[in-house]
Amino acid sequence: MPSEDRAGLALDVFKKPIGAFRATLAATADEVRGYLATRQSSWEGKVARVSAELGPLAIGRIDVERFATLVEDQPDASPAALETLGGALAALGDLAGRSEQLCVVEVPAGGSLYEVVGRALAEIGRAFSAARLVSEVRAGRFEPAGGGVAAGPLPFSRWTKAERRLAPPLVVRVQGRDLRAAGLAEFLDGRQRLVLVVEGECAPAPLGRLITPGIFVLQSADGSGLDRLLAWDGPGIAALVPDSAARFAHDPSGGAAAWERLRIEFLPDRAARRAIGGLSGAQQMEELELLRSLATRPAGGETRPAGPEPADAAAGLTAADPADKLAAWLLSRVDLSDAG
Amino acid sequence: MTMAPSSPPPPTAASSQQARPERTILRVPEHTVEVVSDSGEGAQKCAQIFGRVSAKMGNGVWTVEIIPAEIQPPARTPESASGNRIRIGTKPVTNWGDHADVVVAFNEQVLLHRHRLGALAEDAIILIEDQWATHDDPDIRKAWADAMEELGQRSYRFIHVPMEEQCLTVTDTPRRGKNMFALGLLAWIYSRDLDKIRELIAQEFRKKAQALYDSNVALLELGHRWAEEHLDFRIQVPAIEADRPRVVMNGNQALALGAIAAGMELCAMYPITPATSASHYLSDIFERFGGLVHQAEDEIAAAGVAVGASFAGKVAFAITSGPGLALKTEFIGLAVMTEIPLVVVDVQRGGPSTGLPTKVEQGDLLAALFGQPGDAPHVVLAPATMEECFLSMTTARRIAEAFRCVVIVLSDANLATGVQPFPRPEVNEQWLAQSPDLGPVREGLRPYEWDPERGLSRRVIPGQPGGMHTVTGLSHDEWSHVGYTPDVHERGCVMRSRKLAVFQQMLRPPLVHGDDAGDLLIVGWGSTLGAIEEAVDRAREEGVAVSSVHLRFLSPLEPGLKEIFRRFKKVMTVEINYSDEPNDPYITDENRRRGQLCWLLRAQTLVDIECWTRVPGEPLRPGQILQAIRGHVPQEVTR
Repeated sequence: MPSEDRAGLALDVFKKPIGAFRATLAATADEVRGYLATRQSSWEGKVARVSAELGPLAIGRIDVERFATLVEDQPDASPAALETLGGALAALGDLAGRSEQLCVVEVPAGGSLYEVVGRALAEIGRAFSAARLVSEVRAGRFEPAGGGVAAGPLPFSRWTKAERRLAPPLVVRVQGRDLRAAGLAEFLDGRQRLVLVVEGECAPAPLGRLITPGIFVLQSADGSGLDRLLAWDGPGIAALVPDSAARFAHDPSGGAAAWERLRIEFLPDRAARRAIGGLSGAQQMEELELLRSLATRPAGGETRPAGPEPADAAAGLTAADPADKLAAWLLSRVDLSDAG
Repeated sequence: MTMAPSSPPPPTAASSQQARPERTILRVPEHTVEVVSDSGEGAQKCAQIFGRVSAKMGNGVWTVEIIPAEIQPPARTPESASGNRIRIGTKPVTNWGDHADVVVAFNEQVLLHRHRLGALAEDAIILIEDQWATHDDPDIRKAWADAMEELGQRSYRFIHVPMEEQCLTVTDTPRRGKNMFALGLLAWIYSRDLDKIRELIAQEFRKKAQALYDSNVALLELGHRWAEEHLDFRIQVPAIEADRPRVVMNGNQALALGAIAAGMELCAMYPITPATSASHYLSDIFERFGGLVHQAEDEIAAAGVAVGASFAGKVAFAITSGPGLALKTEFIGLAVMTEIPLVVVDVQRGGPSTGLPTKVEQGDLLAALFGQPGDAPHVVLAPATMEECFLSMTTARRIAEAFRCVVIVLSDANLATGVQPFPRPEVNEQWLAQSPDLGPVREGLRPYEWDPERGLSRRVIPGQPGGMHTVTGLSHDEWSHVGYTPDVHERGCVMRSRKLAVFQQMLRPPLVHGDDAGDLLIVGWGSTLGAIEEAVDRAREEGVAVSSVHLRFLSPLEPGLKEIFRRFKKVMTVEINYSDEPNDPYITDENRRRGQLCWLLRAQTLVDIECWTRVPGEPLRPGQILQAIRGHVPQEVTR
């Protein structure tokens, strides 16, 4: 299947979260417009606005001019605040105008996957940047030193927990030889989902090293399994790989032990002898071995291995001492990502 | 095919071999169709599609569901009658009319039900499934014969249709396919566009297998062919040339879309007929617009969630029906006391208690007005059409926010389930929520800093810098401090009530339908608008000096009513709620319980207002109202 078709397939699977993100953009833009309208209108403008707000049912039934006298005049916002809001509105409009293409990027041949994903997420982060400015202006906390402040790109590392759950999935077209996935671990948090559409030959298990208890990891040739990634309420990454590569799904909801979570559909016997994606043949074999070992049920392992409950496992808790365990559990539930 | 002008014919199977009959084409400005079956046989789906395609083709349409009181009543009983009445016209249609002109009945028992209710025109054409006449079960044959004898007392024209036999040529389960066959019959009789019907069927079955769609379309086409080969009449109801794009929907869909257009963010609900379909519809689409439907554990909790969300600065509403409104009483009182803006939609049904869940009644007016203990002034708004259901949400929201008050929107089962086309609303971005101002509050601002003249105060949202205060349902002063002293409570009551007076002075007097003065003025509210105005127009054609006024705002009442009433010799409300008949045993002028609007108007205007009300569990018919008008017109001038 050509990469355009596979990217389209991924976009189709993720149309709901993409739609939700776009709806949030639109709602935020509406809020900004509403805020600006209350601070930038004459009496006639106010009457017209109040009339519109009351809707057509009020026509002939409610005296709009008298109604408008009830509506409090809002304190004027500073020019800098208005300029900032104008900029935020433009940013939101720009992002909304890109439709679903906002969620698709391509790594140029020989380019850095990490940098492209980082830039794309920072661009999406402009929406959060705009929303934060709006929130600050509306809450009266906006005090710029000079003029307005632009809603610029916001790197993923500065996203809040809520923003990391709201962000849309990102579909990335990448050449197999440029597929260096390990660095992407940094972006797998909240509910961020990445889908890599791989063109050409790639290492057999390029995503193997990203498998951790709470991350959904999928390698698929035809897109099967993407619906499960969609359903997973956490971070995840998928790669649509050539037929020669391994096909597996690591689903954190599968159980506490790695072998319960990892289902391998196909595992090549050997890897290429030459380096692909910066990985030598030996390293590629090491990734295949990693998959094999993770998927192997321990001898006599009919029952679930002793250890934390699945939810705790997902939170990365392994402390044996009950007091430590409790402390770790409490810490896992206190989100400090917004601190500082 | 057998036809009989006045008595039931012997049942015969129609032969497709016979020559096509000569046809009469009846051209009429309007016609009314009923499709009735046992519950679960799909007559409603058939009729809904017929109504929608008629609207899409430019006809005026009004539909009313015929719903059994129970979910699955015994089959082949009058109580099992389920279906729809569709009135189509060249002009806009505003009510369900008096009688059905054409009926498609899946068995004689459901037909008998409609006959006994007087729902059928004297000369109605009845297309009836004929398999029951020759059924193996002698009880069924006898039931058929008995029913036909009773039905034979009228001049109905029967056309026996071998529905089951025909449907078996397409499907093994004809009970689930007759509705599409019936749709085919109607499509041919009324020259409906088959392509449009196929589109609607595809839409209806979009989540089902292709084979199901194919089978339904095959049944539709079979019915169409059968009608073409066997029927000797067609009916033409010319369509209106629409000058604006139109939409067609029922009142609950309109409420749901209206909530989105109004920028609502949260719908808190608990399932209750006939309100549930609005929140179901909303739950399918609300999240796309940033909204959320929250199904709470009960009606009380749903009201609490809506009040809490609104307190936090969200635009929230709750939707329910009469029994749910009763349960929400306490939280509505809390919203009034704390002056938290709130919209509550009550889709009325028959009461009291669980009453008539699927039936029409306007019985919640007084509960909506006065249901809360203590003095709890709030706004009550009653949309009168499907379009107004849509628009009312925007208006209600804005009033609630401007006055920090509760607005109850009173819809009813007639609006909720009926379908009507109306001009596509030109949605305005400014209808959407203007977010609460979260800027710092002025130093020293009191949370209930009432304007002493108007009772209004600035809304403070939790989290606003400088706005911290406690909120209480107890009597409180401007600082929101609990206070039990007489002056504190008195002042709070005055301020909350004053807001309503201020709002009332912003309302304009209602328009009078007909002449500004005359012998009789009919006053109505809610879904009876179309039936009342049609009855008034018909009476006026007879020379009766009657006019009507239809109220949308019931609290506060629209201004100028007393002045309007003074211009008529007699004023009478027409409502779908209970009132004592003046001549009934024990009923005197002192103890007579009147219609709910009547009671309200008498109290408010001190005018001796009469009422004519019925509680049939179905919408009022214009013919019934016309009779009431004739019976209540003053016989001599006494002005």
